[in-house]
Amino acid sequence: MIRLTHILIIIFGIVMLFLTFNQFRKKKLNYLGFMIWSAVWIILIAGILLFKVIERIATLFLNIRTFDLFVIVAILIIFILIFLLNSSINENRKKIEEIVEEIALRDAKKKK
Amino acid sequence: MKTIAVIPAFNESKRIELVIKKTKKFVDEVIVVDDHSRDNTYEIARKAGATATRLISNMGAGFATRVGCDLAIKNKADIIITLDADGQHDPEEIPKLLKTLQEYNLDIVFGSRPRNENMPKIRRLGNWGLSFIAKILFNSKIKDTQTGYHAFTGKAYPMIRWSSSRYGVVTEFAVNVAKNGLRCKEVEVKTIYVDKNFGMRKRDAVRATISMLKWRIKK
Repeated sequence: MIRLTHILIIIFGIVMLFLTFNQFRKKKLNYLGFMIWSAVWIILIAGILLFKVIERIATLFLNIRTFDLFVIVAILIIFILIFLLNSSINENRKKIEEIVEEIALRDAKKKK
Repeated sequence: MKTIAVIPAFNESKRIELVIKKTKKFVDEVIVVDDHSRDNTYEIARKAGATATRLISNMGAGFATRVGCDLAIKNKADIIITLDADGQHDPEEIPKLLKTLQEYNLDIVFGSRPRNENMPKIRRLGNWGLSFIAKILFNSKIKDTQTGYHAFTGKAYPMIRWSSSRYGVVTEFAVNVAKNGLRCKEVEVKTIYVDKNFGMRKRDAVRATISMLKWRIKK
């Protein structure tokens, strides 16, 4: 039986798919990013549509409730995203530092 | 022997001129790195005769000092002196640092400030704490790891070069010296605190401690 929460999650997934495509169209997201994020939202929608199958897997193999499985997977995804974001921020910070230093060294030379 | 002084500066238009003029007497060149000040620190530094450069964004004291030292190396410095722009370090003591560096054939000399009543109590505690942690983790023999007053050779610089952008630089500096087994000595300098509320904050001290643990695990 499809509940209201299921419908809301499916709508959320479709909206996010649309936003992802929009970002890709505006070139704010590269091809790889587009593929990964699209996969995330499609998996989310598929997970809701195939709720019964997932419920069977969760109870049969993992011995947990379907909702718990969703929460665990969501938390794991958040951790992965935090890690990736942190790496990306550090990488960008290093690049900014390199650029600022390069400009500072170049300007000092000019004014010498 | 070419000696270059590196002075990182942020909003120091009131004091920078005097510091440059005093420093110039003892070195061949003074490099001022303006850390994107909101006042006219950069212009004053130029007029006072320093080689000045201005960062396009505020990056922190550690970053500004590193850029200054890189510039000094580019300008063929044999010896680099680092000191603060706020008058916390008396340039008149530069000869003392240079003499010790050359006399004992050292890699680096620390201008060490005694923890007396001139140092605010909370800073005295922080200074002791961070130096103690550096001693335990890295066997550092430096009593004042938090000083920004150093004299070191251009050859030693690649081994000391730090990655910290903010106030963690002095801790990383002392750690790199201990880690690489560089020949160092401390020279007592005056404890001057111009602005007692300015400088390393509590959260910087916490960050420095976490960084030290990280460096210990990493290196």
